[in-house]
Amino acid sequence: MVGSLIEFWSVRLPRWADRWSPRLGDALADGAWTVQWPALAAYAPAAALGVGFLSPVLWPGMRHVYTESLLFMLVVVIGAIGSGPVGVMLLSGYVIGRLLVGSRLSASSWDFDGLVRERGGELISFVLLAILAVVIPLVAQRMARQIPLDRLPPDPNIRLAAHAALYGIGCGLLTYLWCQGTVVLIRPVFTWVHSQPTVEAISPVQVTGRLLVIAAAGVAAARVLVENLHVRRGPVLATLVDLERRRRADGQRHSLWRRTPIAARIALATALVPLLLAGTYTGWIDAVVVAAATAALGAWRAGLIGRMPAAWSRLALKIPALVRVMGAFVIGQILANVMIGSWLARDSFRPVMLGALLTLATFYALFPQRRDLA
Amino acid sequence: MTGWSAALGGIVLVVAVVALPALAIADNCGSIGDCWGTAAAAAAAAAGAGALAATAAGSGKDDDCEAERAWAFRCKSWVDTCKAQLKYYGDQLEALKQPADELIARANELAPEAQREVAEAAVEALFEKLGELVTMLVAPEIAEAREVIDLATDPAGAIPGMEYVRFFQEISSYFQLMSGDLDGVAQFADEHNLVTAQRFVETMRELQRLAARGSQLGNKMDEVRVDLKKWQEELDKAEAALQACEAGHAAAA
Repeated sequence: MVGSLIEFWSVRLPRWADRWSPRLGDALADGAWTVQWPALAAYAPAAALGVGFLSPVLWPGMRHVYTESLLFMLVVVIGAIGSGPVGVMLLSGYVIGRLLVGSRLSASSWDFDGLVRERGGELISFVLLAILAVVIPLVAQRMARQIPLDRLPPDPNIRLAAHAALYGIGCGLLTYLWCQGTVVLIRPVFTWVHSQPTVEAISPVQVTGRLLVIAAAGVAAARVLVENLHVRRGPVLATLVDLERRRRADGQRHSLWRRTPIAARIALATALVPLLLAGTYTGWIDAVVVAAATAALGAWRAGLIGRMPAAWSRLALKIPALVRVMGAFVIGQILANVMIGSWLARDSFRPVMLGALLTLATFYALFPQRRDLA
Repeated sequence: MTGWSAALGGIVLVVAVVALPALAIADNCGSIGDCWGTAAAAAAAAAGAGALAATAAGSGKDDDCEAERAWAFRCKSWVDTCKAQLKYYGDQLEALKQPADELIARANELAPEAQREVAEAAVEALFEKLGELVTMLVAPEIAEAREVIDLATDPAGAIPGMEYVRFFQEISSYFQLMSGDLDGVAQFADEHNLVTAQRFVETMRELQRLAARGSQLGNKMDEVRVDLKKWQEELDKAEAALQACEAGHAAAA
């Protein structure tokens, strides 16, 4: 039973995901290292699915959205960084649970308008949770491995410590960005149903979010050390190698995103970004501005309307992604500060929206495509 | 326009039709100051929101060959792991070599006196067994295995302890063969209180334990070497695929 479950989480499910989203496949296969503790590897993802499913109705203090519970977010952060499938299953369980049993709508209020408002707000909260539970660990892993450690002494333990520190910094930084952004982006969960964001929903992210950052950094560093010092040097290595090899056996890794035509990719981003930034809007025009800007940035990045100068692309790509993320955030913060502090009136969210948009543009500028080098 | 573009364009239209009216009715705090204590805090939130939007839009993906690069990295990581594991076991094996040599030397030292004691007890068959034990201990197979094996072509390279794998495996096989003889000598020495023979047996038992541990480590190293070879092959393939991907995208650009 335990063996079959480990096979399912670490081989069969990732192989299925590899056929259309290798990144999701990587996230699902990320828990294989816990095979050192077979029961954990077998049951933790299933338990995470159950916890996620029941949390909208049973989790103490969670009434409208997961940001009301610091403990739940800690579970997500620790679970997702510790084991990819746990993060994916917590997210899946939460989404299913929220859609099936966690609706705030009463039977009498099931009108189309109310449904759209509630589900629209929840969709944004799901995207934000997906970033925390799935995207952050993957992006942090990628950023950590992009930084060359060649200049360090060849001692593997020193390099391992450096890698652990980089992964910890990456997870901590991205979780910090998540906390900062979620304060404003989670608002439509309330505002779209004619309510106001509650202190209980914002405070755990805004005030005590540093605990999430510390947990993310600590768990990430600890995981790298435990995985490399204990698991990969122990007798379980052969099992790990076997799981990894069987997962890759058919070699079917095809990104649906990469196969999607470029125009459709831009269209999808144009739909998603304005939706995600809805918490910063004051009115219609803001959504239109963000949609137009996102479409233009996407087309520019894709090379449809001009392209990034090759010299700039070359320079930007020489800088490790971790440093570029920090740089984009700092530049975005400075620009937003200028907007909020002096240029625009402070009686609307528009300067926040413009600050977010400028940060988005900064990210696009600092992350050119490698093909721009040609 | 392909079918995909048409379908996704339709999704965009639906999202726009459904979502944008809802956006227009969005409320807010009334002022930024209601939500954040300082402009800097609001600016951090704005920048954070922009960063999350960039993540959702996939702007951090600057690599067309990300999947190939990630797989090559993982293969490299496995190769490094296998090498680190070989070193880990090799260090332990190396640490066993000196005590093993000392025990063999002590056993050889004790052997003549032990043989004399047994001979005095006039048990011909046992005398022969003891003789075999000592002979086997200095047998050419073991002596040869003690020599450093040339590892120039081994993918593990200069992993410490590798050269002792065969030595401990030979010793271990020897004890499997000689187990009955050693038990017989031990029993006889105990029954007749032959002190040197008892010390000889104790030394051999100690050497037996050491050999079992060394052989176990050696077997593990053999398994890891097989894995290392396979991962090295996988890494070569992954690096070739990455190069092909990069060349393909460079040509397309």
